[in-house]
Amino acid sequence: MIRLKNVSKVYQTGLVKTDALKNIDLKIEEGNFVVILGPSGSGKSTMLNMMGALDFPSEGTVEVFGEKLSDYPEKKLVQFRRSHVGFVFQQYNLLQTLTAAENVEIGAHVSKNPYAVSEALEMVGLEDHADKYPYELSGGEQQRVSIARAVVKRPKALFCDEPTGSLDETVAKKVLSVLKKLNEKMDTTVIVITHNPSIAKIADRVIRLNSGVVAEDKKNARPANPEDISFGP
Amino acid sequence: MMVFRHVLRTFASKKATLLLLGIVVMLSSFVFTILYLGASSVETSSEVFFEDYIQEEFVIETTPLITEIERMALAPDCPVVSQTVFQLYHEDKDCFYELLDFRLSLLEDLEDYTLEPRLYKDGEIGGFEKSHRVRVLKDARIMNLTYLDSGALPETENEIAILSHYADHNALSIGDTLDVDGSDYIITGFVLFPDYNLPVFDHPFIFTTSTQTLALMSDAGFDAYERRAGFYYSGLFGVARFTPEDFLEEHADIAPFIHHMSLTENNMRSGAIYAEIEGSYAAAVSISVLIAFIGIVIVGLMMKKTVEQTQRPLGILKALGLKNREMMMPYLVFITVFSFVFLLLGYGIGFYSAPWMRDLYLAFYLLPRGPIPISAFSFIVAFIVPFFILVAMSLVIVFRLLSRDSLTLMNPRIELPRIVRFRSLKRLSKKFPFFLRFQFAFLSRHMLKAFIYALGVFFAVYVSFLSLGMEGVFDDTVHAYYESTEIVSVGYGPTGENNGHTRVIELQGNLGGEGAFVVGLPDGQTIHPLFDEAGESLLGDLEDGIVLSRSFALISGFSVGDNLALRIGGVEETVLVTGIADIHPGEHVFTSREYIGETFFEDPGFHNAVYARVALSEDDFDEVFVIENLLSQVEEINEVMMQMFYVMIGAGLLIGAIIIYLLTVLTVEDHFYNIALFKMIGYHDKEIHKMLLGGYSKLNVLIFLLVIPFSLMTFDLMTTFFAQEYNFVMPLGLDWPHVFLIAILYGMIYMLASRHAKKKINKVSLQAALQIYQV
Repeated sequence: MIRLKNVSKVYQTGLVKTDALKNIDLKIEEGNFVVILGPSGSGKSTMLNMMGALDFPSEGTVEVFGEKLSDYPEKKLVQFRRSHVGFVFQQYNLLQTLTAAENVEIGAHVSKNPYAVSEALEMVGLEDHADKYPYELSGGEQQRVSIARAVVKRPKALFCDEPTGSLDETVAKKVLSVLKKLNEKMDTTVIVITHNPSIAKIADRVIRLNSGVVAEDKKNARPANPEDISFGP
Repeated sequence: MMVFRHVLRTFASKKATLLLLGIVVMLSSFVFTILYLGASSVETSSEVFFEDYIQEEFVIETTPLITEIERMALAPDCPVVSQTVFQLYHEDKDCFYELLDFRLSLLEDLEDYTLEPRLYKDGEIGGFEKSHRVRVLKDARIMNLTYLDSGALPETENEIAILSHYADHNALSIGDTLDVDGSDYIITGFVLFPDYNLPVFDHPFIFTTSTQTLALMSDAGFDAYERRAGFYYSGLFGVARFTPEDFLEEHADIAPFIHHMSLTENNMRSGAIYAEIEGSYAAAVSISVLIAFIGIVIVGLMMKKTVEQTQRPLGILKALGLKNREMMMPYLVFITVFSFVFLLLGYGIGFYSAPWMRDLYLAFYLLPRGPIPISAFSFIVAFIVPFFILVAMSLVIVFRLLSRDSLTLMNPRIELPRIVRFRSLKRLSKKFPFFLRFQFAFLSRHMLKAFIYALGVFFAVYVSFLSLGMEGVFDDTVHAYYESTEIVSVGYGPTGENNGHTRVIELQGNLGGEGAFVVGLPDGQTIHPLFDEAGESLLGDLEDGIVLSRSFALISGFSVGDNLALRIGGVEETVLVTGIADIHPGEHVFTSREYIGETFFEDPGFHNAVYARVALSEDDFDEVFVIENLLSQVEEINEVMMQMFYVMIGAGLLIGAIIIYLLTVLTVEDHFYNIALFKMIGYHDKEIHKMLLGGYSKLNVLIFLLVIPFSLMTFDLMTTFFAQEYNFVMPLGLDWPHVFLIAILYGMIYMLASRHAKKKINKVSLQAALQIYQV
């Protein structure tokens, strides 16, 4: 379970203070597919970073899979990220001088029980692109390599920050399908943040943030298949 | 103004890097200027000196033994009983000069050239704690004319002119009295001789100007000075030039007293200055070009990184309407000022230090001291060319980056690397363990960066090895030789009672066309052992042939198994080279004394010198040569040379250290996106550093290990080249303590640099790093 208790985050730039998150209380069950929606500056990424042990709260506690991250020093946070979570970003963040397989292997190395690199690439449908460099792949393919790198270590949770933000609708749906499949077949908790409300349709649960507070938290009784959604209005 | 402030702030955060980079840029200009101006000052004054004072073009050395045809030719007026010309000089000076003229007239008939005998006598200067020596030259008339530096030439028998170098060292002035072998001489002036600009390695008269001087006496004074006279014939070519080899081949039978002919231009006594000057020009250009190349590459890298780091705000300014020119200007102003200041500083320091470099040359080459020339060429090469290259290169880099549209500047993308694919290497690397494989991948796929890094490290380590390799080379050549023997002193002339000393033969001869110093050692002697490289004794080999010193083998190219013609006093015999002794005393050939006596003098007991384990008395011999004095002179030479080497060592280490430091910092900063990414994935700091820096650490070790055999190989080549081209044996060595010293030093610098870089990286938030670079 992921639990945020009275979590606030204040960024200070010079004399200016910005409240990114205000007193958030939240529980997310393991194995859920959660979409966090919200406009820019609503605190989505800040919340994701805290759940993923990339950032600390200014106040409150963050507990993920029984580990109280808000009390952890940097070393233990690294250990936590290493063991339990995978990240997918809008910008793919691949190492340009490594092939697809090598990028995935970088992710596998930190796990005690990783999938085989070829298996991870197969999960994202890129088994034939193992020896290609990122610049030889399309945006969607690069994002799928990034997903393979995140899942290869068998994370309990996958945190995705605007994973389809740079992709067109067709490719974006493919990527979402991969995430959905991982969630269903591997029982991986998937948390996707996006500003695209259409994506919310595929989630088990949708949390809407606005100005640092939870504006809405609802469950989808029948999550949609990614292929069936439309990004249009 | 705003952009100016922004750029200045950016560069201000790189103060340490800029300073170190400035030092590299400055050193490239400094090294060229000091070496070029120092050498060209010596060259200019030397050329005038050699031309005006008619330096000999070649030298013909003749045997000290009186040959049979000479006895017959001189017989009517001079019934010669002496065996050597030295003895003849003592016995009858007129006959001695008659012998010299006889040789001269025979030689003059051989070719179209001009010859003049050059006479000298070696003696002792009294009144000093240490032994001081003097070589008195007889004034020449045709060539090698005496250059009067100051004062007047000696006219009476008790007057003498000496070197100003020696006078400076010993606080002597014109008008002072000098005790030469017990007689007082008044110093009338300071002189120089064009044929004796480098007597340093003219063994056994090894030259240091603090304890030895050349001197001129009046003709009457020279004849009255009772010491053993030596001589050779100096020469100037006529219309046609010829080679020493052809000369010997054609005329050795007609004039059997000829030992050796050598050309001044590649003779250490007179011609080394040309090689030295050429070598200095070559060194000036190659070292400074290499430093400048590395400096320019690092400046380029730094400019690129600086602009990349500041492109977001520049993108905003561009979006607000600023023109490319307005944004480029501050960078160009900065690089212009930076290059101008450091290059000019390098040139200025080089210019003002050039007299020091010139004086270092003049400590060895006895030449007139000329002014440092104002050279447009040196200013162009040391300042203008690198200045324009630095500014132009920066202009191109900045223009390329800033000519992107404002959106691209605001959202910079990672530049895709040009990956060179080596499939076989990739296949091979698949067998490596994880970290090694990725270290290899990061290096091999950033080939250009790795190459520049490797080149910098290679250069730094090699320069350091070369500088340290020169330490003590002059000391080693003679010192090691005498340390390998038990000789305390050598006596020449009448050998008197045996007194347990070892009777030997020491003679000038000719071996296979090369002038040689032939040493005949008696059977069973122990005072002068001979060992080969493996430490095996070679004394047994003397029975079957000759043993060469390593320096002679290097100079001549002769090797074991060669059958060579040995010529002494008109007699020629074929001898077999049976060994190479691991010593560098000079052009020495060792063989059995009994063999020399019997073959060349029909007297198995013939000898002309003794080696003693005690100090010999000057009363019992014509000349006594004390090894301790010789070694102290060698040490003095070494000390002077070490001044130059310490500067080279210091500069080499400084440049090397800066290069390694800058390249490491820049390289680590370059991986800052990768480091952030690894952190996000869950890698520990140690693992990240191992992954990214581990490759560079291994590359450092690899390059270091490669430099060792490269140095050994090139040092050997350099030693052989100098020996064969200039008869100058400089056995460069790579000592293991030096290797360890450099390894520790550079290891520490590398650790310091990577630690500094890691700290900088650790300060960057991983989220910020990941968001700065987008693909």
